[in-house]
Formats: sequence, C-alpha cells, structure tokens
Amino acid sequence: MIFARALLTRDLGIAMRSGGGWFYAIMFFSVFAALAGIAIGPELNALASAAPAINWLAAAFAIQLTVADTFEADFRDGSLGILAAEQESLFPYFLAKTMLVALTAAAPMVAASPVVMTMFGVAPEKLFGAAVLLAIGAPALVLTALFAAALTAGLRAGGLLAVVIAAPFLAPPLIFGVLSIETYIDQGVFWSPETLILAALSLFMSVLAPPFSVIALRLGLE
Amino acid sequence: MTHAYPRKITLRARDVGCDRGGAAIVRGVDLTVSPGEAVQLFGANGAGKTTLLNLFAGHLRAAEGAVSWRINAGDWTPSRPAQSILFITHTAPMKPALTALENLLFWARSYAIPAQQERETVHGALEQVGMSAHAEMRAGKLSAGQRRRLDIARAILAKREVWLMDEPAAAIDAKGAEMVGAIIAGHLAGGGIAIAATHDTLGVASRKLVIG
Repeated sequence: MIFARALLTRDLGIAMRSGGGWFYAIMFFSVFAALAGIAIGPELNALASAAPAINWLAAAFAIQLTVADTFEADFRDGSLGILAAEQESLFPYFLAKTMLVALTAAAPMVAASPVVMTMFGVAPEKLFGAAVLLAIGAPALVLTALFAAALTAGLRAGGLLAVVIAAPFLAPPLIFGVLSIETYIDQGVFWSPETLILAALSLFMSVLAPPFSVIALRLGLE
Repeated sequence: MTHAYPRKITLRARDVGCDRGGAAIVRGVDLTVSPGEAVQLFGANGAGKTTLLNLFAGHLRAAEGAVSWRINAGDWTPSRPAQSILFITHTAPMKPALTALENLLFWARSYAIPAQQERETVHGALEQVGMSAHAEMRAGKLSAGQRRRLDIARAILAKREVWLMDEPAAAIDAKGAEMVGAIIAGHLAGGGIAIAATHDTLGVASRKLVIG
C-alpha cells in the first residue's frame, strides 16, 4: 500500500505539471457536450431529451481517450518492466493507476456534469442526482478503459486499438446509465432497476478488471 | 558504501533456453552465480543478452531447462526470493516532468525506505553518483548519461541482492564508468550478485559468459 500511495503521489504530481493530463478528460467532456448541443439545435425539448445520452456519451469517450495510453509512458521508459521484476505484485500498481484516473478524469467530469445538464435544460433540482448517477456508473467506464489499455500496452497505435476493444463493453453502462438518468428525470425515481443494474456493472468490473489487467500487463512485458 | 546483505542469494541456470515469438533465441546456458560474484554477458547484437536478463527478472519463462534460486544454504527453489531483484534496463525510468530528486524519492518509496530517512538516503545516493548539483533539475533536462547516473543511484537505494543490468554504463563518461564499477564492487563485497549485459568492461572483476 505504501507503494501504491507513492505511485499515486508521483503520477498526480506529473498530471499537475505543465503538459500533464489532469484537464484532458474534463475538456473533452465539455467540448463534446457543447458541440452536441449546437448540433441538436435551439429546440429546448429536444435538448432536454438528449441530455442523458449526451452526458453519458461525452463521459464514455472522454474516459476512453484519456485512459487509452495510461500505461504507455511507464511501458516505454522501462518503469513497468522494472516494477514487474522488483515488486511482488502489480496489483498495487494497477490500483494506483485506477485511483489516478478516478481523481484526474472521472471526478472532474462528475463535477462538471451538472453544468452540462443545465445547458441542456434539465431542471435544477435534478442536477445533483443526475451527477450522482454518473458517479455510480463511472467505475464501469474507468475500469473497462483501463483493462483495454492494459491489453494494448506497448503496441503501436495501442491507444486507438484500446478504444476499439473497449467499445462493445461500453454498451451496457451506456444503456443503463442513460436509462437511469431518464427514469430519474422523468419519474423522480433514483433507485430504479436501471440504477441498480448500473451499480452492479460497476461492481462487476471492479472485481474482474484488476486481475485480468494485471495479467494483461505481464503478458505485454513478455 | 558496502552494504552487507543479510541474505546471500545464489542463482543457478541449468541448460536454459529461451524463445521469442516462437523462435529460439538462447540455448544451453549453464550458469551459477554465487554471492559476491559478477557475470558479464557477452554476445553480438540480438544474441539474447537482454532476453536472458528478462528471463532472470521473471518476465519470460524458460523454454528449456530451469532457473533456480537459493537463499544462504537453503533449498533450491524455482521462484525468485521476495524483494531481491534490482533491474536496470537499457532505458533509465526517469519521468521527464519530475526533478531528479522527486524521481528518486518515488523509487526510494518503492523500496520501502522509511519516510523519515528517505530524503537523507536519496541525497546520499545522489552524492555517490555525482548528481547532487542536479537534484532540483527536471529529468527531461538531463543528458542520457546523467539519467543513467540516476538509475545507478536507484540501485544504491534498492539494497537488493541481485542486480540485473542491461548496459549499466551506457552513455556514461569514463570517470562515471569507473564510479559504476566501484558501486558494483561495493555491492559484490556485501555479498550481492550482479549479472550485466555489456559490450564495455564492467570495471570490476567478473566472469565472462559468451552467448550465441
């Protein structure tokens, strides 16, 4: 755990430096949502009904694109190979990277989501709940993206490949994420079956993604 | 700088062969490295020196034969002793956005050096590799040789018994290479073992093993 904390501290330090990537996800999220709003047009009803879908699509793509090369720098400069040889396990490494993505990509987006939803004409009293729903589904998005990134670490154009690999696995959280927000906005039900399935998807990925990602990283080093 | 290792580790390879992408790269390597001993791997480019180091580091499995390890006079086991490996690859793993000091602090923590001692220990290691004046400089601004020196400082911090090194003195000037030799000599004097793939001399008495 000391090691995981040291790695997280180091990577947060790098992310906050100039050229670091802490704002990529929130930038992409905001720009995607703003452009989607422009594309849909000024019809407020159309905007409001598109809001949940745009919110989730923007989040899914922002996470995919920022996470796709998470392991790339460590792979290229040999850090990953060294850590794999010198540390007993790569689990703390993967845990630290997950925390890093959660803090630098997922959390800012969840915080920005009420602003985006306001722009799309969602009622103010529903904004907070909708952001919480995004937070419930975010682990599924993050861990899917990290697993795909682990599978493609060290490959040329691996980032692009990671996005392609992750795409089909993003369908379930997208479907239930959008449905849960729609149910919440239209009927006021927060803990709908859709929300529970969304939470289950996040838990499912939390259990499956770490061991398989660690194996994938080790295979990448062979 | 001699640090006497409480564990004495011996590495033994018996008729080891290694494949890469289905092709046989290394065959028939017989090698025993006892505490205090250094082995220098020689061979043409592509002969499999790095492959062999990766095998000892646990990244590859032997296609033939077996690698085994022994702590003190204990039994031979196929698994590497916990926290025994120091791996120096041909790239120095220093993050360009962080300073030399910050980079080494991370590695010091990865070797579980207690928080109260980490700064002192890292400054000591920087001093030994002649990088004290550059402690606050970002690694991205350092030359290849200077980043290499930082990687050697990492070796000092690690206090691991088994040093696996791929071209440890690459890009380092003549005086620096002497320093690397002295640091490896200190490691051997403490009972450690070193296996280095290099075209240069190691700067320390070592056994030569020609591969390929």
